[in-house]
Amino acid sequence: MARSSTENMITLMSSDGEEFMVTEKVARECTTIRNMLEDDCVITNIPLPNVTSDILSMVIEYCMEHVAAAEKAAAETAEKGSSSAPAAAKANKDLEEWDKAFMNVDVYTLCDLILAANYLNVSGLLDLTIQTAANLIKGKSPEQIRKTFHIQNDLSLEEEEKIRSQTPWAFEKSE
Amino acid sequence: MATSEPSDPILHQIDRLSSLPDELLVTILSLLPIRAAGRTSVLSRRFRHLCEIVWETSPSLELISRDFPPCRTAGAHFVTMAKQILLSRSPSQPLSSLRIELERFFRFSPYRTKPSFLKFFNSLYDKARSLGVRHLTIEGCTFSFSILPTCSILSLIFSITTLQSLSLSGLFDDWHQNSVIPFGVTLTNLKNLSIQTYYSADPAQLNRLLSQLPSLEVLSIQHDSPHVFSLSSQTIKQLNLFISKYCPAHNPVELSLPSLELLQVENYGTLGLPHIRADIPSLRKAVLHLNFLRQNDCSAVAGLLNSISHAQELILHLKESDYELDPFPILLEPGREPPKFPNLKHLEGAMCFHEHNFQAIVSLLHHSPALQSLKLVHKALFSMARKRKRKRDDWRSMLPQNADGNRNYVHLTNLHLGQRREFMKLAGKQCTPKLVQPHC
Repeated sequence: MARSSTENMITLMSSDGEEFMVTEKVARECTTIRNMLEDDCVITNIPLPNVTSDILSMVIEYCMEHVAAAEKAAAETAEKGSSSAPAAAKANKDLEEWDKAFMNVDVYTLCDLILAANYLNVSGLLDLTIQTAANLIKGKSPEQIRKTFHIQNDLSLEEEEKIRSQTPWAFEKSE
Repeated sequence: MATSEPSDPILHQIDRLSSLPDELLVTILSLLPIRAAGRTSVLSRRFRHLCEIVWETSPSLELISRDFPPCRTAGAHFVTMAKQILLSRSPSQPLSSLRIELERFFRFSPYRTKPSFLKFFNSLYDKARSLGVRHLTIEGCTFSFSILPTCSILSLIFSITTLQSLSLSGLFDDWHQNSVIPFGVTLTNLKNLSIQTYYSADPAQLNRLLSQLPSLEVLSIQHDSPHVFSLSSQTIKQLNLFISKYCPAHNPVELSLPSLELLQVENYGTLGLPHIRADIPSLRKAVLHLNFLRQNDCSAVAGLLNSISHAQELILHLKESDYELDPFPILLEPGREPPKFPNLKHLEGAMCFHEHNFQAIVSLLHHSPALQSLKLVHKALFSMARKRKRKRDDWRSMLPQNADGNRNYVHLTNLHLGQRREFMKLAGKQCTPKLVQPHC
């Protein structure tokens, strides 16, 4: 990751006290931080009491990857006058692959990432994690969903039966 | 907030999903098809409640019959779902967009008579109207035609005055019955209309319909009428015209669209390309996907190029019919002066750049003095038609060698900075030996 020495560095502090030095550009990927920087431009140390160090490091990894991809695309465009469509398509596909690999996490981490992305307002990461969670639910029976997410069923058997009979269309299995 | 080791196995038994705030869970559930979201209603009390929020407040609904397994109950379940999700929705919760997909509903319908069908549909559209739906999509299927003709649907839909976009597909047309488009009703907000139906419109009916849409900007329409097809509108800025395989080449297509800026034409026909006569003075961009081209389509293609020759941007995808063994001129009529393209700035072409197509592009370059960028992609047609005894050599790319050392594409920007001359030089080198040498 190319990083010019003149660039402003920002320190982000996780809830468990760990410090992360990132470039201002990477930090600005988080809309919440960008707003803070715009309100007060001399700020260099930002405590994030809602995000643990392991989750924060993942959020930073995501932002760095996406900033690097955008910079690479911009550099190519500047160099050649316009970006060639096949190269841009490949870069997009690479980034999608990266996102997919990045989402290879357990459901616990996934939920923490959703919370962090929501709190820090990283729209790309929020969309990605929310879609991943939706994909985990899609195509599963209620029992499988409960198992995947360790959801405690607090409905009584009668209540559950009633819901099933009210919405039979949701529970029809293929023959 | 839990901050211990994430690798702790006990911690992984904790239901982290339910700890997300309502708004995030609602977003997750609203990304799911209605059926899949419905299944979460038995997970727990919380999810039961969230499902209700999603159904009651989501600004867009998709009732998809294909989500149901293809069996007897599909139709009945679809109706129950529609009643529970759409028909019982509170009028205080406006619905912005509604998509209804009906294939399995038709195949396994619980309704045996036409009036009961129409009654159900009436109730759907009445509800859509009372909820102020702005974007409506209805997808039928090929064998639904006897039950649900487009015009009957249109007359129902024409009462939804909030509509901004409307898309109808897979429905049978009964325009010829000359009855149903209601006079005097105007959809003043409708900007975007897409009609992909079978046995398409009688032009008089269609143009009358267009005259009742004073804000229409984008029209997508499939043309497969056996008649002369004509379209006229003062407001349309974008036309996507699909010419189907039932459309005879001898009947011309006439377009009179003074505001048109973007024209997209795509044909699926094996009966030949109809002549398109277009009066479109405001055109800026044309996208042509012309398929199944035979030798006798040449004058239709040339005519089409002629009528769009004032465009600034042209995207050309050409594909010759598999029945043609030898390359032939298709872009320019032999012996005729090619049209001038005085405003053309961007040209994109994807086709098999055999000798004729390549020569045509070179000649087109000579006639486009304002051209700034050029993008050509060679589409090999040889492999597909191997059985048909095409000669590989005749169908190989004549494009000049590019930076990657192959002849599959050319991509040039800043043509006015001398690249044009260079390309011509390369192009000249490329062509001459082939023309001089009798055969290799």
